[in-house]
Amino acid sequence: MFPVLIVMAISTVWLRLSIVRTTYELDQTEGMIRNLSQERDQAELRLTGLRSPRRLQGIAKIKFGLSQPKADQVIHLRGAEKGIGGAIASH
Amino acid sequence: MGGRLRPTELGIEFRRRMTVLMVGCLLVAGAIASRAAYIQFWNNPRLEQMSRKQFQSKVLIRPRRGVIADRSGEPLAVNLEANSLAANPLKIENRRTLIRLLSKAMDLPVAMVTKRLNEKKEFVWIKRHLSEAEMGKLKRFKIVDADGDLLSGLWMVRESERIYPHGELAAHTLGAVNIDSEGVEGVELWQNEKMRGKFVSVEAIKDALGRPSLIDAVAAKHVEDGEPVQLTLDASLQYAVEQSLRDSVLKTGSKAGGVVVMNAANGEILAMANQPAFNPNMSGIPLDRRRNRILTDGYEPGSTLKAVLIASAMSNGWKLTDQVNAEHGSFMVQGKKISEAEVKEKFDWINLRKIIKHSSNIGAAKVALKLGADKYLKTLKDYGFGSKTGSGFPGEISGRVPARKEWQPLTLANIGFGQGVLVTPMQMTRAYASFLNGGFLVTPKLIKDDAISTETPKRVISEKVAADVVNALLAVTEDDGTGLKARLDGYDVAGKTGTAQVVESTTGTYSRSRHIASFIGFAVGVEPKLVIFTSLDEPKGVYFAAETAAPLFHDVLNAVVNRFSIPPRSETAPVKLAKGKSPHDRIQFSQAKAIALSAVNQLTLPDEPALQWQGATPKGQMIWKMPSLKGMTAREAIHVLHGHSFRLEVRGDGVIQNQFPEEGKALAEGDVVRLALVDP
Repeated sequence: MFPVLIVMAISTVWLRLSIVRTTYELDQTEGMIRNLSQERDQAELRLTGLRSPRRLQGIAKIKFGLSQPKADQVIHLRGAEKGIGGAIASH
Repeated sequence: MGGRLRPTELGIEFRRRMTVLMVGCLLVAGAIASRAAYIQFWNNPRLEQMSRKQFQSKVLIRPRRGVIADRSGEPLAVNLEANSLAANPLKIENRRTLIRLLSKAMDLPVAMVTKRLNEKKEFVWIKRHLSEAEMGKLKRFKIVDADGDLLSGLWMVRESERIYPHGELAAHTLGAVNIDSEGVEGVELWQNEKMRGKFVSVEAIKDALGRPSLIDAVAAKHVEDGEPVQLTLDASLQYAVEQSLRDSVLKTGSKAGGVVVMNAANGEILAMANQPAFNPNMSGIPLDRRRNRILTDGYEPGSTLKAVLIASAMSNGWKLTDQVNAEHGSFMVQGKKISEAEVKEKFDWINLRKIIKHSSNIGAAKVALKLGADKYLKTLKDYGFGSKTGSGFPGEISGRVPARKEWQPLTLANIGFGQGVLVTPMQMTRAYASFLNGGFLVTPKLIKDDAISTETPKRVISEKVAADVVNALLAVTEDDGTGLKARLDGYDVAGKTGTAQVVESTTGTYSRSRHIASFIGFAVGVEPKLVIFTSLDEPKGVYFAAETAAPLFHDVLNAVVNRFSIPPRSETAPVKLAKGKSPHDRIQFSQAKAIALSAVNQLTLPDEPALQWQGATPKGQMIWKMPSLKGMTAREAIHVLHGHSFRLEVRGDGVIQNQFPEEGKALAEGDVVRLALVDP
């Protein structure tokens, strides 16, 4: 009877320790996921900032000396229109 | 018996006493053990609660708020994780030093930090959404160490913070969230339920400092992130429109301004700009600056309402050529004098088209009086004036059209030329959309959904009347019309100027010095059908819409045609990109006529290879020597090839890697030119 009790007690303690250890590991992994997710969010935010119209206009004006085209300087590519959302194609 | 006890008797007495003591101890120990067993094994809700409170707590898991994107998926509102500093005042050590350091690191008043750290609670916020600079100071002051651990009693909570990556872009439409990322204004408020997601409250085990440490991960998985919201706005156009509006407000010294670009076919709002602008990433912006005036502010439309009057008249049997007597510049109604906007304008008999073209107040008043209050009021109601447009945007107002019983002849005459009614810019925009779309009243749409609406828009005027109104509005941008400066070369522009006096809130009378100048119009005969509303509040100096709002309209229309590649009527057939599944199909689609050299103007690129003439076929067809186009962008290649009837087929993006025909080969007019592009 006594050895059985001892084994049961040790098993219970071992099980409990395993649960705690696994929980900590899960916690750490989740923290890592959260950090990576945060890094991704920041990278996406930076990307959005890099392609913001304000920045692109600044580069076009200052770096390349470009200005808004006049109506007769624009070539309209009919095939490039994608409904209303279609832009002047990069072509 | 009264003598001293003998040793044997002493031993017996000692054992007896010891026995009593032991039994007593055993009884006490037994009682304690029984009590412990009772507490351990028998349910006791009160004790259970006390126990739970000691080492368990509830943690609210917030989902990620849905992002807001423009119609092309460009993010306009996103989330970032931010650090917020919290404390358990009961566990704070070195209180006075800590208060001083925290106050310095986060630029908070000492009294405020003291108050928070003296609260008898286990949790208080010190400051939420810390900046990088504040985090740096906390590290410098050793409040946070290199491993990110904090001093006793403090801890960092990671929260979500709303960021608007484009700053001022569409700020009035996007709105704002509070510190808990709950929408409080604009689309953020309107779509809050959809974007906020599902919150979950989970059990957590507290550590020695009372901080939640181990969280019920299974329960936490039930958190549902918020759904994204896609707007109908086009970020690029929105930016261009905001730039034009800002420039115009600065140039005219206006107090405020607004622009709307709406698709007349389906009511989609492609751009909606307000001035003054603000950066939604900054806090403490006054409400007056944050208001989306396009929907939340009313104004007296002035002459722009004359187009609705004309539409009403023609729906009731009038023709564009019907005339009224404009009384040579002065007309009395109920003892009040109505005059033209400009004193020098004196008209006699004037037809409906000219009333619009010259913006005759007396002409409009006469038409309104002849039409009658009942018919005109019905038209205004049909157009939705005095009611919300159904856009759903929070804070939208209805405007005001006086009740029928308030309509005196003077009221009717005034409303005829746009005074005495309160409308919103959005109501006016959709009224003009009905002229462009053949007579339908569309509902403004700001949220893009792919579901095809089966609801037919309400018809407010016949197609014939709509066409006639457009005809009249075209006259406005003719050489002697009031909207000359709205004209854009290459496009037929229809629209109407409006210069309305502002009612002084103190006296209730029309101001002589404060005006709202507006222009509403569109390019005719092009696709897509887009209506543009422009307005400037209280421009300084020359305040007439013809000199203020009309040039702004011109700039916005220019941005619109560039953004959506709307070719001008004067342009010979535009270059058409080949499409289709098979090469044959693509060639068939490439029956493009060349664009004229003159249409391209001086856009030749440096070191651009030119086409060399090689000869002609017996039928007179020109033959050219194919230049090398490798390494060019498609746009650059088009510049080289334009002016000829080549059929162009472009595949891929980036720069040209392969071309057909090869360099130096013959290329005849009408031949196919195939270009394969790859990313550089």
